[in-house]
Amino acid sequence: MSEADTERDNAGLRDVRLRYMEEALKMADEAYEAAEVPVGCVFVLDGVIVGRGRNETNVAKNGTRHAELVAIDRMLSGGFDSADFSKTELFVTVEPCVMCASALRQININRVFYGCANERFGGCESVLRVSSDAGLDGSPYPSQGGYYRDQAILMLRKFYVRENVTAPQPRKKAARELKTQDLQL
Amino acid sequence: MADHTRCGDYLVERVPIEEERQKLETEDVYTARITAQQTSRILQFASKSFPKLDGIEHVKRVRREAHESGDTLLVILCQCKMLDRDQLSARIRDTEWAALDIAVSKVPATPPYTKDQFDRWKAVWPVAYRPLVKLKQALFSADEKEYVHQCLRLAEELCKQCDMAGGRSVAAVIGNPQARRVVAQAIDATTVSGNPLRHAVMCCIAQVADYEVAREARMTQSQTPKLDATGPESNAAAPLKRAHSPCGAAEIDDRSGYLCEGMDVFSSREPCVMCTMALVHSRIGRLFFLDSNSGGGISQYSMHSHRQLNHHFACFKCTRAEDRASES
Repeated sequence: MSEADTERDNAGLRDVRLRYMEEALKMADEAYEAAEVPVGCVFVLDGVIVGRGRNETNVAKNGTRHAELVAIDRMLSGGFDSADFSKTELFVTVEPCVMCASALRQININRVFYGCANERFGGCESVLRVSSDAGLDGSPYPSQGGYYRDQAILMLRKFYVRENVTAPQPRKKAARELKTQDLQL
Repeated sequence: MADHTRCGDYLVERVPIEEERQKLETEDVYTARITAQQTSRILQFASKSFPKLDGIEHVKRVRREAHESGDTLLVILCQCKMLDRDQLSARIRDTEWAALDIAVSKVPATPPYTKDQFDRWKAVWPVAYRPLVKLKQALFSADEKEYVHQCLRLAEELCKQCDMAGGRSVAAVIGNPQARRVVAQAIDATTVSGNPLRHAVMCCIAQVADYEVAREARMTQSQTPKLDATGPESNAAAPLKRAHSPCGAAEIDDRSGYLCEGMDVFSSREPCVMCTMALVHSRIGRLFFLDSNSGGGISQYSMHSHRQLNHHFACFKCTRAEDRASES
């Protein structure tokens, strides 16, 4: 295969991945509409979406109900064979947090694609490297960001200019504006 | 270095936080040798001529030093990372300080958090010492020692059920430190559920959450009286749920809980990275664990006190006192 062919193939692959990420963004939007932190994901096995999830920490009053864990729970209780995770790819709008990054190792996920980095909790590159460090439970996996990064950031910004009424001391955010100039949408 | 406490059958040892493990690191600053009378004038000059000191607020500005010309002071002008030597000279050249005796000195780059650090830091340069408030959480009252003992023993007893159930032998308990009561307890459910993520800690967190959801539903229901048949029926479920749940004290019922804020977690084994981060997300107050886990969140990353994480909690490694005795 010539270099040009490889490049065309990679571009085609990126388009396919972007389509899965569009599905993850739809899940994030569903979370936003439900007043949850807008993060969504899909799991893909052999080109088929086999699982979907979005953040539901507020309604569950449980800080661990992140999109990834919600989807995994649903898949397993719906009969998904946990051995198949090793052939499954995850598309999630935001870099998995440290907790989810560890969970993904423990189910032996094949690969992870995400939209934007998670500067506060990221477990693939931003805060810790749970996805690749040695000595942890489960198996390391490759991860790659930058799929619809700006769209993922926009959703989070839209959410955070609203007031989080479930926080112990909700901050008044009347003066906040939604900034979009630095994003390519 | 860390503190030991005996709680019934257990020795409870605080796991040092990241700051306590901080080794001495130094940073270079420009210093000038002056007499005591010049102090306020040179500080005035420094504040308008040089960049402000940044990130070394713990460092004292002046150091007294015996010198051949009698008692002199070394005063910090600015950090070397802000200006190079030529820039510094240029700003002094045409002032009354042109003949100043300037040198480069080393100062501790981070504040001292422990007495031990303070003693080592101040040998380098005078520093202010403010012990971390969270380090004092290791002190237990007699009542609290009994509660810690009971919770750890419960976690160990639950572990024995795991052996019978054939799963991984890990159990966890969540306690409310104000009421000194158990509010959730669970054993590892990975085998029984076929879900590799259903660890004991995750199950406990879910119990607290489910309890809060149910409590809120009850409150909403009691505020909006319903005349149809479903009203009393769903209300009837409330006491049943309460009898099932280990909590029953009024103060727990009235708790307007945000996740597991301020709660204690007792685990038979050091939580894995997933579970430790779940505890960070849940805003717990303290973690007590029995067996260490080399791949766990405390051993691997000191996640109870990680600088980049938004919530910290106190952490205690616990040992059966009899095991400790047989080791030595």
